[in-house]
Amino acid sequence: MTEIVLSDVSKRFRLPDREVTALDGITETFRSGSFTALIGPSGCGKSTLLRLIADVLPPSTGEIRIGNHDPAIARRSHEIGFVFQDASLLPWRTVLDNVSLPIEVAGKAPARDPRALITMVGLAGFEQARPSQLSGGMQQRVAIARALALEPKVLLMDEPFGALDEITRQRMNLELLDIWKASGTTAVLVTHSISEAVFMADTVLVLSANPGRIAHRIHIDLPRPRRLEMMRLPAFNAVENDVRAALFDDGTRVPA
Amino acid sequence: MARAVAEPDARLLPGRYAEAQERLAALRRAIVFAVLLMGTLLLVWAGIIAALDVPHYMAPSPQAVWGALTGEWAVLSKALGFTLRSTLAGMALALVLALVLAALFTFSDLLSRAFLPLIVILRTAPILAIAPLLIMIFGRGQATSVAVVVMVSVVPLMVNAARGFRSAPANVVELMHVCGASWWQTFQKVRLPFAAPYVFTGIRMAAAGAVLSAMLAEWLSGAPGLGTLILEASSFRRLPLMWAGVVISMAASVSLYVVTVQLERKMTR
Ligand SMILES: Nc1ncnc2c1ncn2[C@@H]1O[C@H](COP(=O)(O)OP(=O)(O)O)[C@@H](O)[C@H]1O
Ligand SMILES: [Mg+2]
Repeated sequence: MTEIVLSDVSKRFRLPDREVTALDGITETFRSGSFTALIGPSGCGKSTLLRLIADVLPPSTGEIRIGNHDPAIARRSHEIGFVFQDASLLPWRTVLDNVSLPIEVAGKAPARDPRALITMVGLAGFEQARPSQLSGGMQQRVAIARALALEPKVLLMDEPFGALDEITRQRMNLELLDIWKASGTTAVLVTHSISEAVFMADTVLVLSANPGRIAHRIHIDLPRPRRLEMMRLPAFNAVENDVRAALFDDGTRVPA
Repeated sequence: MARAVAEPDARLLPGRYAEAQERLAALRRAIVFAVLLMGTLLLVWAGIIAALDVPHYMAPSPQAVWGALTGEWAVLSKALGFTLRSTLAGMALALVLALVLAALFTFSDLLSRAFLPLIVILRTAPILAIAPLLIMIFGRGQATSVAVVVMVSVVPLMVNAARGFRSAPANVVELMHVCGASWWQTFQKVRLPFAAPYVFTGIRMAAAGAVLSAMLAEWLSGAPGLGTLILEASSFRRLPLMWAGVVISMAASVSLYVVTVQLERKMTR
């Protein structure tokens, strides 16, 4: 199974004039098949944490294991799916060819049919469209379909819906939960939205800045499957308030 | 959360096509203007020579140049063919060399820091100064011409290609890495296509001087192209032939530029 384990991980960046400690003493286990949300002020190291897990950057100290392997091994065996805030599509490729990109890279039989993925993210009929012909929300769905193309064991998302309007965002959230449930992938979602974090996750990790640390772990006991109506329940609002309190009352100043 | 939707750089491709279209339109306007200007100049030229009775060994009349163009077409076209072959072979070779070098520099920052300044500095050495060396290595035939065109073209091509390879958005490159892509896969699937508009800019810049470089090489080596034809016609005081050669070399330069613009338009369609 694909558990992500971080043991006493820290990350420092050397700048010309000083050193920045982006993350310090991060010890955390992301259970296999769980959904975790990361929330915290800008600059607290959320993106850095995802990049460490994805083997884009090496940790300065500590160790990261993905399903008992080094992240580099997980990455090279194409087990990691990544979604950025901007869709980062290749403008000259069609939707279909963008979704197929990881399959081309891996050079093996597709774990999933790209056309089925496109249908799943609600873009059936747009297979031959170019990214420039799509709205921001549609482009982001293409990016999610692309991240799922190799049936990743780990799905890392860095504010994937940050640029979308509220309605599109909620629809995408529901779709993403269905996809996650069906695929059994271990998901980590960075978000700025408290309600999105509570709605999606089993566990919300609240990070504090300077240095980036896990300040609070909040378990969300709402039943699954999650439904939009739940957002009006007192229980949902109570958890939201817990997260809000954790985010604002941990002694660090939160930039507006 | 009402942030603007971050559009990816999709405008790049249609933009490139539109730009090429625009350049072509501008070129057409320039050609019409040039034809009108040349027509006027020719009239003034012919008028002055007739009015002042300028001796033909100082400046030929347009009619005499036209006579040379048609009368000596066999000689001229042979020389043009030689020069054009040197130019095209040189540019093709320079393009391959530039892409390989730029790719190496993208691959390794160390290589880039060590060799890029060196190449740019080497390029500032006047061709005239290294001509004897070139002739010694490549002989008095076409090879020296090709070498000179390569030397003159490779730097603008390489600098633009390197800039193009680096223009791929960091997120896209990072995404390829996370997908487990090799350096070569990222290069071929992401960096090369993102570099295409930059490479075309390099080709346009190089094309502008390539015909002239090939002719310069002929002046140094004596190889039988347009450059040598112009030089010899001048020293034998065959002014109409000399001017015919000049006109043809200019036409060749402009045509080469038009071809690169057309090529870009085709490939970015
Ligand atoms: N490549 C880098 N080089 C230097 N500093 C960096 C780099 N990446 C991130 N940082 C610094 O690390 C800190 C955390 O950044 P980041 O992980 O992007 O935060 P977040 O995603 O939570 O907003 C910031 O202070 C940022 O300036
Ligand atoms: Mg970030």
